[in-house]
Amino acid sequence: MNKSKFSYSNLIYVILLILVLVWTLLPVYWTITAAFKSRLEVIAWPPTFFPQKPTLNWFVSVWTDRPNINYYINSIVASIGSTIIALALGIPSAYGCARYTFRGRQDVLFTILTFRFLPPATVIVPLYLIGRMFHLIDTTLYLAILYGAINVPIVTWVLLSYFKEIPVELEESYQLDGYTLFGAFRKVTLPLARPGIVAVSMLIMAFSFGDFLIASILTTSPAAKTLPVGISEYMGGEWGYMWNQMAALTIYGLIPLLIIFFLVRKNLVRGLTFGAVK
Amino acid sequence: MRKLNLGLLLSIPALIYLFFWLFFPFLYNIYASLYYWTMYNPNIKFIGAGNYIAAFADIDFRNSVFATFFYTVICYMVELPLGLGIAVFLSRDFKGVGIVRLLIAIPILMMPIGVSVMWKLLTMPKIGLLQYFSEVLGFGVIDFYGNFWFASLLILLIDAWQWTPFFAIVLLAALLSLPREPYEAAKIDCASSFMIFTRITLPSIQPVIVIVSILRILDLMKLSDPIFTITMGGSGTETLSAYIYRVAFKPLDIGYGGAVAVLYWILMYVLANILVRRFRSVIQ
Amino acid sequence: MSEPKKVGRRTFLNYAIAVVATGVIVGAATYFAAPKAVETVTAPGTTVTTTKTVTTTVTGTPTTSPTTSPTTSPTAVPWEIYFPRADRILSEWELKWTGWGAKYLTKTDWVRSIDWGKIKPRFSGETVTMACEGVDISAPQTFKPAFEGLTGATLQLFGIPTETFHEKLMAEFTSGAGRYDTAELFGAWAQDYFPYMTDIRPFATQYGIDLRDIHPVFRMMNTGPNGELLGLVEDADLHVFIVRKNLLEKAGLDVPKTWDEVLEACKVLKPIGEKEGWYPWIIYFCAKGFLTFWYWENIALQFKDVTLTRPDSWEPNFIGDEEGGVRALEIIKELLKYSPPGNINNTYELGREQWLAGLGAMATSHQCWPRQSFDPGLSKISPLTTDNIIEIHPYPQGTTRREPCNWTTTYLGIPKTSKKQELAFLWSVVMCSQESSLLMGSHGTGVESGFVSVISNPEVWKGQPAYKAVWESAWTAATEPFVYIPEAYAIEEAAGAEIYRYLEGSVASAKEALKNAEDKVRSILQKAGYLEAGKKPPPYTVEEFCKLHNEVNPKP
Repeated sequence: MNKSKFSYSNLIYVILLILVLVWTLLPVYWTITAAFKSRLEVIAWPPTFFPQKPTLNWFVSVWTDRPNINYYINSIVASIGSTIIALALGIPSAYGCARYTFRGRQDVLFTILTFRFLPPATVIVPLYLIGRMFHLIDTTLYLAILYGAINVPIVTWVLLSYFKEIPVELEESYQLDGYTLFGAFRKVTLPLARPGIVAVSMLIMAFSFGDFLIASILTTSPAAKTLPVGISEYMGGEWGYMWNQMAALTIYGLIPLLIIFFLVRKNLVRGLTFGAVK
Repeated sequence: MRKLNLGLLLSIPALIYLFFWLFFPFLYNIYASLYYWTMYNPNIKFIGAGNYIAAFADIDFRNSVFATFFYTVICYMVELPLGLGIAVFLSRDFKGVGIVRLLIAIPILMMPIGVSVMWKLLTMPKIGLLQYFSEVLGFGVIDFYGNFWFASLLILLIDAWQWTPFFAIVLLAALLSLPREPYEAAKIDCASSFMIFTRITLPSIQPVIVIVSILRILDLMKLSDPIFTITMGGSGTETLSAYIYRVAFKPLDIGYGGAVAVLYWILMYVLANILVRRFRSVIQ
Repeated sequence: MSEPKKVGRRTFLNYAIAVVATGVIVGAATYFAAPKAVETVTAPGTTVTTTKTVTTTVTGTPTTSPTTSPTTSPTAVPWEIYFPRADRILSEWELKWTGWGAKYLTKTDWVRSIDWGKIKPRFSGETVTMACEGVDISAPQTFKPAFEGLTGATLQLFGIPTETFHEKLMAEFTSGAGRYDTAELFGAWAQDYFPYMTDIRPFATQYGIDLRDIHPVFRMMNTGPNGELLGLVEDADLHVFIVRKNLLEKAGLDVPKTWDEVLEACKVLKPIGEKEGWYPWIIYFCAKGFLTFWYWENIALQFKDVTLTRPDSWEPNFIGDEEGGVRALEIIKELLKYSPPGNINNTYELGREQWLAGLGAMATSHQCWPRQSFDPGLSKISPLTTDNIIEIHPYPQGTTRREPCNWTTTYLGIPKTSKKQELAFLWSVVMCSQESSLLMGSHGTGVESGFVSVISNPEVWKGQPAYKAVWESAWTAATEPFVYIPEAYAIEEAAGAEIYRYLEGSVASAKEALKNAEDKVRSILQKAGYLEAGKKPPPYTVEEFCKLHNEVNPKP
């Protein structure tokens, strides 16, 4: 790894860096400024780079005009709930498939993977009917259940590699010391696999937080509606596209995930190799 | 013997859960696909393969299959190299690299609906910033919403914007975990950086590339968000997911929707099978 | 290796627990602090009208409508303070624009004609519920305080998303739970609700209300087979033709009256628009599917040979014996050349956004565009802040004139299962009376008045300029016959997809596209059994409707 010293290749790298950053951040910047502009200024021509009269009005009004705070909380609850469910189901199955070879192991793994490519649009109607039967419509519980189900495959597949990487001998040595299998698992395997667990948890949270289709069909009221649904409610009505409010809500929605990402960033480095780098 | 069963046992809760919540509802589609069945009409008629024949006969269905593959391929072919390039780039150590890595991750953390809306604002004729740049550069107004090629470009832009960081971060993590020894040895042997990259780096992270590629490809086959935001499925951009939504879900045509859903699933199954089998050795 | 990791994990867990705990606390606090969020969307403790419209003045400061101020006039009854009135409902710029103040615009108004003194003791303390479609429930919210003040009862509003609204209501009505005392019913699905709704004519007689003041166009979709009226009309919308007169005048053009004139005007305007950064036309909506069909049929109905179904049967007639339907489709393809690029895939909100941003010189739309064009906080072309002149005219004609009135009525139905039917009726009166509906139209809630006495009143035209054009057009109204059957959506979607192919260029001839559309629709109708002998659609022109019910069709 070279420390920076001036050379043409470094200059190129800096230019590329700037390009990448601009490309990544321009839409984010645009979202942020849209949340500060007035309704008319958002659609001004030529577009303005800096809001002429920045206002915090939208950041406040999205909380008071509509029950977005409920939507926000529901999103967070559903995300956390689904992460817990997916981990609770995926970790054992990943461990089982990693440690033990049994007949049908490949099939089990592939079957779990097949659930990954189920387009939500194909199951949403039956899920609505089932939900109605069990009185699950309009509950964050149902969202957590379904998001959890959708994300079990990725937990299994990612942690599969991790668990395989952790040598069985470590667990066995703990077991010799008197720990049960489960105890050894908790003491040594889980901590070593922590980066992977953290990484998939981030992915699950990002997915659950941002899902729109399932939430829009299966929720009806502020008791369970999520933030993406809340954002969608700002378009298509009598006022057309309410850019400012949508931008403000998008920014609000970004913050929790960004904070969590920041907190766990060190873990992610090891975590996202999918355990596949030897 | 006990060891054999324990592995299966550990996987059973997950399997049961998935079957109950995802597969069992999907069976409903298989059942419904054999009937003429709309939610508002009580006259349900058994028509066997009628829905399937109608699907194959429908030019919109065939086009949507093509569109789905088209977008999957072009998005993947852009996102992977771009992500890899960014990852290589960010694996170097320079001042502020931590911040840059954090900033790069932002697109994945943004809600897709917020992302789509913002791209809409950026591309509306005579309103959007990108249109402004285009006019200033002399290209005039770009038809992002009605022209197949520009709409596809925009779809690619939106998807690449949001998901290239996914590749970038995962591959970055992989690069950072590579052991040093092979590199030092290569340096001693005076290998060029190109050779180092292709002979040492790439093969080491190949398993990661394969896994993340399979995941992304399967997700791309379900693409629908940008389609709805930009063209509502018009101008030939309708993917299978969008097609099902428009033709079966909104008019509450359960029978036909079921048939298309089954065909969709078969398509995905075949594709996933091919991908996993081909690369099984690499990832397992 | 274990030491630093242990610390790391603990800190992480601490953070996580803190976040989750905060979330739980905040969530619990919100849940208990706010009234049952399921039922109302008002902030806790609010009883005055603070309609949170999102209009802002150009400088960026928000304007909210004034709170209800108790001004009594000497000769009024004690409950006069609750009557909906301009200064109590409209926002500052609207009052300035219209010049209305503390006065009533209508001569006859149901709310003012009722003796609330006798009613209040009977209903004080009771609760009545309403199911509202969608999330924008500002219209009912505007009149909630008035109702509660006049009757002493409490109103609970449930906002239900549009996509699932129909299904939820049907489930509710068939289960007989009686949860909603009244519901906003979309005219397009009116037939589905008929069996479950109460006929309000007896209530109307009881309170001396003359239902015929509602223009027959807006009673077409909520009148039952035996003349029962299944609810008062909340929203009564028709299509209009909106133009920026200043742009036409600069080009030396008159306002077009026919579609041919529209196309000619577009041709003249195009080069001018290119220089100045606007387009001659904006397509309201055209996205592949039912939107394409709606846009096409509105124009196709202007050709007298196109009736969408043959007389006396459900057999589709899209092409027309003189190929009027073909002409209509070709007109749209022409219009696309004069519209902003990408308009072929326009949806409601995109078209509106483009119009309010000043991208177009002419367009056809519902009445909301005109009203919003004047709003200085929403529109870049407002005559109040720019030198644009906006005029609203009747729909351009073809070989005949039929005002398109598809999907344009929302009414308040009272389910038979409701235990508070009389109270629910009174609520619907408060929200749907002449003065109330007029004020809603002027307040830009997107809800329009459908009373003859209102839309024909020139004073009212000041606050909703579209009403003049509506009054001139309503007597010719005709809708699509398929709205009367549940297969409507599937029919419109299938036909629209076929028509779209001509517009996008994959089918070369408009006639062929229409023929394919007819075939698709025919097969849907056949499978559903409508093509059997003797079946024909109910009357779908207002003229036929009036004849059937022995009414006079109000003409200007």
